[in-house]
Amino acid sequence: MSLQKKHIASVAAGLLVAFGLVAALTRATSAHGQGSARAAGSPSLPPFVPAVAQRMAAIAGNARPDSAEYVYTTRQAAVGLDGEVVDSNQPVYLVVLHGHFVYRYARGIGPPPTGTVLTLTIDAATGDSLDLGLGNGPSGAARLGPVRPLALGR
Amino acid sequence: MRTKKLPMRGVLAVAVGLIGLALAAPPAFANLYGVGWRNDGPVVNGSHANMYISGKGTADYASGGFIANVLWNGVQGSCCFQYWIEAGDTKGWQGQNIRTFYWARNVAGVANPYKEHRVTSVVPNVGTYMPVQLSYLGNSTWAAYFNYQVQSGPDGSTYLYNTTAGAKAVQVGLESTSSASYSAATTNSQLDYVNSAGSWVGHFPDWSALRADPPARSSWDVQWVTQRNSMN
Repeated sequence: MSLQKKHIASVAAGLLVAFGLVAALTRATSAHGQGSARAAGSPSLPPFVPAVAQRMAAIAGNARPDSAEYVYTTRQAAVGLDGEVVDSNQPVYLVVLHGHFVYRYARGIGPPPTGTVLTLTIDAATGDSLDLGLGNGPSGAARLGPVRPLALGR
Repeated sequence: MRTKKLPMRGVLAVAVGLIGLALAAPPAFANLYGVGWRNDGPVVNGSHANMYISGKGTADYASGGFIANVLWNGVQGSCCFQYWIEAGDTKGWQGQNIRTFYWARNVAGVANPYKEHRVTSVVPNVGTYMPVQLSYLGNSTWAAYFNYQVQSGPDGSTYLYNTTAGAKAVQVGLESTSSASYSAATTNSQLDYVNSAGSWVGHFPDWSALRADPPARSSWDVQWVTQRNSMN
């Protein structure tokens, strides 16, 4: 009997170890998968991104754009889509808004610019708005990475 | 026959006159300005102003308003500032009550004609001067300089075909989106420009116009070397 008990105990211990290994492997695989996704995409979206996008949509004359999307990228990559060069290259959110815009507060001489594609870059660390573009697109944002929908307040 | 030709000549003369008037038409000023400007002088392929950074307040910043001291240069051969590049210091930026340097452009022949960019590597300090320069580099490329450092480089050179050189248009001074905003007295001195041959000329072309939308004020200093503005 004692031998049988020892055998049962050994089998039980083996099963526990096996379950433990499987559980550990499962956790490791899961964690690795999350890490890969995080490295390839954006961090969780800070609340200032939709807030700044909403503010700029209103300033550009359309507080309820038809749609909004964003890409996590760098500032130079974002403005480089239009062949421009700027003086810093920090991580930014490139936000693309679709709708009909009339930018009454635009710089410069002449009538307010209009367009259906409003692009913004927002500093990923500070939430400062850095760059703005207005025209009829396309924005080219998809060339910079996965484009995700952006929910704006209504 | 002769009597018939004379009216035709008259019509042609009137037509030429109208075209001339159209080419020399004043810019469509959209905001409030205290500026010196010209759009019927020589072609301007670059411009420079030593800007005094004055104290400013923006009444309508929350709705996107601003008050700025700006140097404009026409581009793409346009008259009347339809297409331009500009650089300056602004109080009020995209709904934020901040002071910053920036550059912007409105050009033809691209998908997104209007762009504005904040400059972050240099910071405007009230009571100091900042040399601001716009230069056509060739190959459809313009650059904006602050303190003689390039802050912006190729501006759509891939896309801006025929975005060549400058235009007969240059302007410097205050721009504001609200009459309730203010600027202490500011000056723009060392007003040089680049002519069609690519050479710097000692001061801006002789001016044909000052513009001052109340409460802005605008004036010239001695021999048009310095332009003064304020708004309050």
